[in-house]
Amino acid sequence: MVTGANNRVSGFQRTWNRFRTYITKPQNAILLMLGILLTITTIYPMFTILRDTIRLHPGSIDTQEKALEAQFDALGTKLTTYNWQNLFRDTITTRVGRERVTRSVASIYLWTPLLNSILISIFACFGAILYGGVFAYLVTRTNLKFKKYLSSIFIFPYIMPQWTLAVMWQNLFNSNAITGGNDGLFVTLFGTYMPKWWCEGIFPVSVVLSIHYAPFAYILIGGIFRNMDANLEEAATILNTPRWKTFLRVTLPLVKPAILSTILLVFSSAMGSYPIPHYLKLSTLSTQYVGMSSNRAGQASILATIMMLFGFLILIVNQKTTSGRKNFTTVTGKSGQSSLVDLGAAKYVLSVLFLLLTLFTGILPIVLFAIETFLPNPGDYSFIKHGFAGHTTTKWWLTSENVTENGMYGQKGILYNADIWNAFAGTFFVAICCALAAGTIGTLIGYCVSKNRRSKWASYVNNMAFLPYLMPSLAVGVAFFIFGSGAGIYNTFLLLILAGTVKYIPFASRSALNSMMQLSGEIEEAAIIQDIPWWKRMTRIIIPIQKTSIISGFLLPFMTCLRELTLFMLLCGQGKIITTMLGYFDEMGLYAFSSGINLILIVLILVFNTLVNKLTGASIDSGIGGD
Amino acid sequence: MARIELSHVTKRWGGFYAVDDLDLIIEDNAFVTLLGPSGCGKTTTLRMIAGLETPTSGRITIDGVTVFDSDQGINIPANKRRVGFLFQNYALWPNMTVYQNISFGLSNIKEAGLSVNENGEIQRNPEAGGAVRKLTKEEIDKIVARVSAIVKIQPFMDRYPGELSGGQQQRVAIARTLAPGPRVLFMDEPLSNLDAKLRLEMRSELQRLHLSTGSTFVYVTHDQMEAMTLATRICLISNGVLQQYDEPLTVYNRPNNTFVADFVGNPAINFMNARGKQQQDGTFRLQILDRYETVFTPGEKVEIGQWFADADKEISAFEAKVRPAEKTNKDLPFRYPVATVSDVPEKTGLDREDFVLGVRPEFVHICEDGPIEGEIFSAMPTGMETTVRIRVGNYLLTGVVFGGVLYKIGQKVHLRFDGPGTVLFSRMNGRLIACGKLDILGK
Repeated sequence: MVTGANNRVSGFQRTWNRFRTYITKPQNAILLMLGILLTITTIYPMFTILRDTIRLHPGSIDTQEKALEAQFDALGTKLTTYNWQNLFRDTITTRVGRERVTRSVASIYLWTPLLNSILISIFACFGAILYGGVFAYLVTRTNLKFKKYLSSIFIFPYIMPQWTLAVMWQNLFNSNAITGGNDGLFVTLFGTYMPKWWCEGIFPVSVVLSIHYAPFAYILIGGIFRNMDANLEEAATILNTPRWKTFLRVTLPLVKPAILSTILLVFSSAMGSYPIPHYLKLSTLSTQYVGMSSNRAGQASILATIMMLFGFLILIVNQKTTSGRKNFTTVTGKSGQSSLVDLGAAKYVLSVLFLLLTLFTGILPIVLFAIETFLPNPGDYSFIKHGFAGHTTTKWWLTSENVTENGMYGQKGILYNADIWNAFAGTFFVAICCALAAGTIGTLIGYCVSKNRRSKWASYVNNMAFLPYLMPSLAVGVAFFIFGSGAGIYNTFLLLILAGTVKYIPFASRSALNSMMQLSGEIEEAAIIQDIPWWKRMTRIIIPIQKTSIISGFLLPFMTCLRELTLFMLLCGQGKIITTMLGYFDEMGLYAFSSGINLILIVLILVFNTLVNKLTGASIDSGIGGD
Repeated sequence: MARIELSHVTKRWGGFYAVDDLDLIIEDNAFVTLLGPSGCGKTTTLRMIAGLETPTSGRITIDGVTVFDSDQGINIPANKRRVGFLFQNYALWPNMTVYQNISFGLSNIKEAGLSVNENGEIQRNPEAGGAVRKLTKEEIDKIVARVSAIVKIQPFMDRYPGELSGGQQQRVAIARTLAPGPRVLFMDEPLSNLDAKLRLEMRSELQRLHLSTGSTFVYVTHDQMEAMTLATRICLISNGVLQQYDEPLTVYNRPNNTFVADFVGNPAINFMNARGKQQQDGTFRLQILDRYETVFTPGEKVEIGQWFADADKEISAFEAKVRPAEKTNKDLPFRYPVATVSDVPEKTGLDREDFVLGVRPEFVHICEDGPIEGEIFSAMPTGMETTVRIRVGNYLLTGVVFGGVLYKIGQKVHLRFDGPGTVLFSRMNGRLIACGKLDILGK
């Protein structure tokens, strides 16, 4: 190693030296490892879906035809195009009244759900951006009243489990005459029967999805409004530009990137949403998948493949637009005093309007769930007219023995029901494991990518980690279902944790990457120069400085995991975790139990959110959808 | 005890050459400044020597040990190069107190033959043997006490960086860098975030520090004043290419080319276009300022024909080397500024009879019997000296007059150029031909 004039070494030696130098940097070694790991955990399950579409499944419709059954032994391990052919060519004949109606398999199982999925996704995008965007503008740019309260309650629908609003919609508007079942609150109170299109199908699904995802729009668009230099608008005002023109030509183009990312996020999330269309009875790709998965397994995988394709499409659009998005980043920044638009008298009208709206979306579900647990029969609101006595009960909470009468179906009350508490314990276990794994991996990715900004491999790993974010939850769930069944780990916590970790790494990697990018590289270099080992640099310098955003990287997966249904429902039996348990009680018609579980879940999430927010300053809104 | 050697060091990002084929030898115990306009590659050079940036090709040795060699694939990481680095924005760890900031690095040292003498200096003597050990709490205290005494920050040991002023933070950063006793100290524009008064103070302290530590200092700055006052040698870089590597006064008095002449010195040197020929006796007869006939007498012997032949050879060798098709940041000849009242069209079709004369402002002498006539264009007295701009025809010349002399704007003055400090460049390639004396013959 001593200086020499011309001491060249062999090509192998040089390559080896270079590799050694590369790998001794911890960020490179970690990146290499995680890159390989993520490629396997993200790509392989997706690959298994594809493979599943060209295989026969014993016991499913694939093998019903005799000819095929005979061949099954031979074909069992072979690949076939049967599923594709069957889906696109076959017809099904059903009796409707006296007539026999023949429809193609594809139209029932594929085209109708696909159209519905796309429609609700588009409507959800529009609705979320309109509702969330207007609210964002009002909160950040005008002198609206009760801003602080409104701002925090507006996020509630996103924090709460997805189905909350769908179930509330049912509780409000269902009626025996129109939808069957019990009369909802609306009928009981006002005697109004809402039409069927209002109670089920595309309209309520779109509305509920819009409300559920409006917080995305609020946080993303509001973030830009908040950071936007008011001078930009003032400059236009000084040039005597009409206010509407300022809004159209200056304000709107600036928030365009945020609107775009909202669209991408909402579109893929809405497409993969299962509970909302399920409760509100709409046939979408995700509900159809669940409906047909047992007897048309191969064809169901084709649906999942289509959902996955949408995910990839969104990833590509996202990639294309991020380059343009960066052009705007210089605009945001230090605005000192931003002048607020005076709404005049409309101030009070709008404030009250939003107070009412958020009451419906944020407070009412909790109240309704609470009430439901005290009703003797599900949806029986007769206590409103006849008083509490005799029309309310505490049996759903307090029954401590097995009783088959009383409509308890042998279940103990919520407080004494070991199955429920086991499921809660399961959920917590999964949530904690997912949070630890996803948080750690995501933080490491954020750190390593920020250290290797120019490297292609780093951006590959970053994209690999981000991909599951844009994949519809159900598609990810399906991928892990097929993967898990193949690997023999179906219905294990391991599979749940694996799926959850992969799906939630983006939460942590985004927030870590954002914060690491803001940390000057010199802070760590100052320690490198002094030969401080890597783990000590991390534990003593980087993590303490960035603790808030790192904590949110752990917190977000945890919170999301607590209320996750779509991703997990295919991966385990119903008693394993609380959200699937909830679905079980729903199917059993024990709505008091499912409402009680909902109530506990919502309250828990809200308490956790507030607690962590107060303790560490980390909050859920800093992370979702952040880029 | 540390000599740094760079040979053929190149750093590029795609087609952009941040540092292009740099050869540099930094002698032991030197105080070298890397000087140049922003974006010229000086910080990149420093970071490459420290190991924070990986060169694209070339070789770097510190103290005889090859720390980087692209041909052999050697790249010793920054933490094993045993150097100190002072960052522009100090990079103090905000979550640690001043004491922790300084002691953190020390608590990680683990070597054989470690000892701390009474002054609180680390002694490394691996040959002496002894167990591999860490520094004790008392030893660390001793070292921290010593370095904090050097930069006078003892009262702030329990404060966090956020509670210190910029100057105090700077001192903490210096103490932290000094603590492990680095053999080389790299500094990246360490004074640029300080206010003017404090900067002056810290500048003199750095000079004292260099003397007392005996380490090799490499210092990056874009401030030519800092470079002039601190360095034992200045390394002037432009566009990733080394322009001149000399002692400060040599750089000032004998600039290699018009870029160096313009960059060093404040107020900047006066450039004048000149046209003429070399005479039989070796002097140059030149016409300047559109009307004055002058004689330039070179301080050393120079034969212009031979000089051009040599220069062309060097230039073509350089151009062959810089891969012009690949390099996106082209090495255009420096456009030296000639101050004029109204814009003058750029002359095209230069030949070997076109020259540029450079006269430092202190050599512009205003006196009653000066052969050049002009009028005061502007005058800026500071008390100690007065900077004046004098209009001669369409041209402006800058001069410095010592003492509080008051001039009226528009006042007629006479001037001449003093001393042997005039520099002559070729206008074609901007290179220095000779230093010498300029005499005005008349209009």
